[in-house]
Amino acid sequence: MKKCKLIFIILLFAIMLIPGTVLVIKKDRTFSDLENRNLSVRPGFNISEILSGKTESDLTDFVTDQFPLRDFLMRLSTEYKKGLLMKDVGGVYFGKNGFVLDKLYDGKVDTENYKKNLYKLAEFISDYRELNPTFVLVPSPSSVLSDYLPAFAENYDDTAMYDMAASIIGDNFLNMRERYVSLHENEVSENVIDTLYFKTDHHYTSYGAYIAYSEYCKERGIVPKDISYFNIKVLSNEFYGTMYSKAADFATEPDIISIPSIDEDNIYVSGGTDKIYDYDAIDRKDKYTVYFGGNYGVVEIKTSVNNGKRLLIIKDSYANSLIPYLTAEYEYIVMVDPRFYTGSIGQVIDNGQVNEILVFYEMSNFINDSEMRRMMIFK
Amino acid sequence: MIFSSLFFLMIFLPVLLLIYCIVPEKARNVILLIASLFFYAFGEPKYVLVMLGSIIFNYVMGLLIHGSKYPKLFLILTVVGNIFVLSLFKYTDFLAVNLNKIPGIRVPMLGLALPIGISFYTFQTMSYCIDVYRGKVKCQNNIIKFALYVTMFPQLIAGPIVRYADIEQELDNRKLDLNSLHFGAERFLIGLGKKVLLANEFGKLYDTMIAEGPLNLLTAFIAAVAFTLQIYFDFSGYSDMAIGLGRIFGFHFMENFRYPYEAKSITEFWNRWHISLSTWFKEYVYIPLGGNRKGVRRQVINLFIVWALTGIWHGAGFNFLLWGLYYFLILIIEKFVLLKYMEKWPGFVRHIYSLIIILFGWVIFASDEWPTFVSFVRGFFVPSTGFWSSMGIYELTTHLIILAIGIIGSTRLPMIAYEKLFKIKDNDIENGRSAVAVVSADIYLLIVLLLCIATLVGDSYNPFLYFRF
Repeated sequence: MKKCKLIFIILLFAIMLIPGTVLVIKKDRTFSDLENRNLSVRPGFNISEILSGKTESDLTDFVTDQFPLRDFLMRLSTEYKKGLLMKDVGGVYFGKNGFVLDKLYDGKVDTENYKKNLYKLAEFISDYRELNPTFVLVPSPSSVLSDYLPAFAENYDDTAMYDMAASIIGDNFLNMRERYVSLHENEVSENVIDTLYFKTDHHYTSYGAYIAYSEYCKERGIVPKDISYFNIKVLSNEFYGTMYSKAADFATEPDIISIPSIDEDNIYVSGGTDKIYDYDAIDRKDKYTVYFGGNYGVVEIKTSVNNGKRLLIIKDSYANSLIPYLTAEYEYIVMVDPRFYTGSIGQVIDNGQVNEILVFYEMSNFINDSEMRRMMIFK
Repeated sequence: MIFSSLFFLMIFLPVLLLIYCIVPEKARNVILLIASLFFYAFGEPKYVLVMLGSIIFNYVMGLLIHGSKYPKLFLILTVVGNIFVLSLFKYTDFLAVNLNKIPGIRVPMLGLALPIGISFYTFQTMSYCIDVYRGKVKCQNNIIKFALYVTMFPQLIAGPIVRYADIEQELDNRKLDLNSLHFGAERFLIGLGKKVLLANEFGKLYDTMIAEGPLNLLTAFIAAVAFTLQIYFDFSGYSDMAIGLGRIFGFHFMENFRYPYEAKSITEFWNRWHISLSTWFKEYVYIPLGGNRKGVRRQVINLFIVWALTGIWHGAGFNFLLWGLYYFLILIIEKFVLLKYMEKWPGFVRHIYSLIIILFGWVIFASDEWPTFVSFVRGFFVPSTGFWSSMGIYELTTHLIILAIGIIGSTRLPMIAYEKLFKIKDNDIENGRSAVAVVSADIYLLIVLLLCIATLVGDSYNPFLYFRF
């Protein structure tokens, strides 16, 4: 009996002491690929930060973030919750067919904020009426794929959101929702290697982006090029996206990420990484950053097309995978991401001699965004 | 610092234990005191001074009550001083905010944050001084021992409220042995599991139900049940961890929870819930006021005072006051009317009656904002809010297993099963177990620890519920 108790105590001591010792000795990891975020590192010590309690909370974060076997333990924690038959962990649903989808119920979308965005945008559109602004909202994965959600799980009511956009923005609003929903219901079509959305990421695939491209072209009176024209090629079949990071486990299958083939040598990009495709992304966790290497305030693109069409895109990351298609239709594209741009939008329009405007967001991003509104206040 | 953090589990605790075991017995009080001050200062670097002030004040007062010619005068000074400091931090701004709502009145705000644990340690120091006055305990001449009593980290921030008399002997003389170490560790892990694996999960469920929008009958019910389970597992988990840590260092703290949700009346519930607090109010408020010895009218008034105080002890807010008065009313009704009849009710009816009262009590307690309370009341009583929603059913199904574990786990069933399965002698968990029973429990608890660590690493949701106490 004594032995049993002693062994238990020794084991406990080992479990408590070893990770702490490893933690203190080993070098800090600054970035977590799995979670796609910077990790807290060991804090420095100074009296004022100790007195304010900052050092203490930094130390707490440091221990949690640098904990040995962190990635393994996170996966274990998810598996444990799945073992309890929980169908959502960390704010994402484990949906059907391996889809990990954002848990976006009504209480999570800020309808008031959405309205403010729409009214500000309506003003902006009427100010630049001569540049034919078009406003596009791509439906959220969880809305289109709502039949993949667990039983009884509900998504926020996006049809009401689309109706609201149509009534406030009017003719300049292009509603793509039906197109995505019907494609999904008809199980997409042959000669496509992708589904519409990634299973483990919050973005749409290159096929999903192609749909946005072709709908947009029709709206503008352009005949969209056939998908075969773009010869979509696989970039990686080891893509674990942002949704996976929220509830990493041992079982989820990775996504395939593919990109349209374009005439990269004759496309000149300035801003960000100065590249339309950043192939370093293959080795990164977030492979969606293959498009432009991520999000930047202003990126200009000069294509090999000569038709005098010059486009401004005010956008979120959903536009990044759309733009390769648009390089086949425009001579010049300038993209502005309000989250990273603090200058005046009027200046971008003048400098680029823009003659068309596209405002392009994914629905849930747009609902909760406040940066576009801020940017539009300062013309 | 909180127990359910990796810093506490993996750095603070093992380092302290190592030092504590190595140093000579005489130095152990000092080590524990330093550790406790560090533990407190880690979360409240400035307010540790308030605690030190309180220690010195009450230490001196204890000496004066014991040794001077005017014990009563110094007792009054002690009580007034303690209540003044507690009120200053806890209730002044609450009063100011509400007075300022009256037109024409402008009271300046102090803007003081509430020092964590102040309600717990103030009640402890007060009980010490009162007991010295009553001659129940000897006054403590050694300030290190007295300071250790006040600051002892296992019970410092979330109780139980330890009476000085309970650990008087152990401050002078206590053992560090394998049995206590083992038993304390087991108890600590049970508490950790309750907090991390259960309470936090129910807390998340409660927050989700509130966030999903206006409540209907089903979602109001799920939210109420989730909070009921959260507060039990959180609070009793903290007490388990405190009692376990106490045992590790050689102290015996009183039990704080005895399966309160098994109660068959509200009177019984309060004999099982946060026992150290209700005992404190009984001993130091209710009985001194005259208790039930001065006629029914005075008894009702005394009960009213006790329950109003119990309410606002939990935080400066109308919800807590209302919650206290709610129990005052129900206890009065039970005492003078209902208990006589209830004896004839079948057991399960009494149980269901008690659970319904408790559930509504927690709804009041949880509603720190008026709209939350309104949403609950509408959900429960206004049919037009609907009886159910799809999301309600979803949350219920996805949490079905954890809810079942929580409901069963809040009763003594698991313990009975353990005792029966391993044929434990006299149901004495500490001394009556076979080696097989011990090893099985320990393997189980090691798995619990692993899951707790995994959860603490992977999940940032880990609230501390007692910052308003």
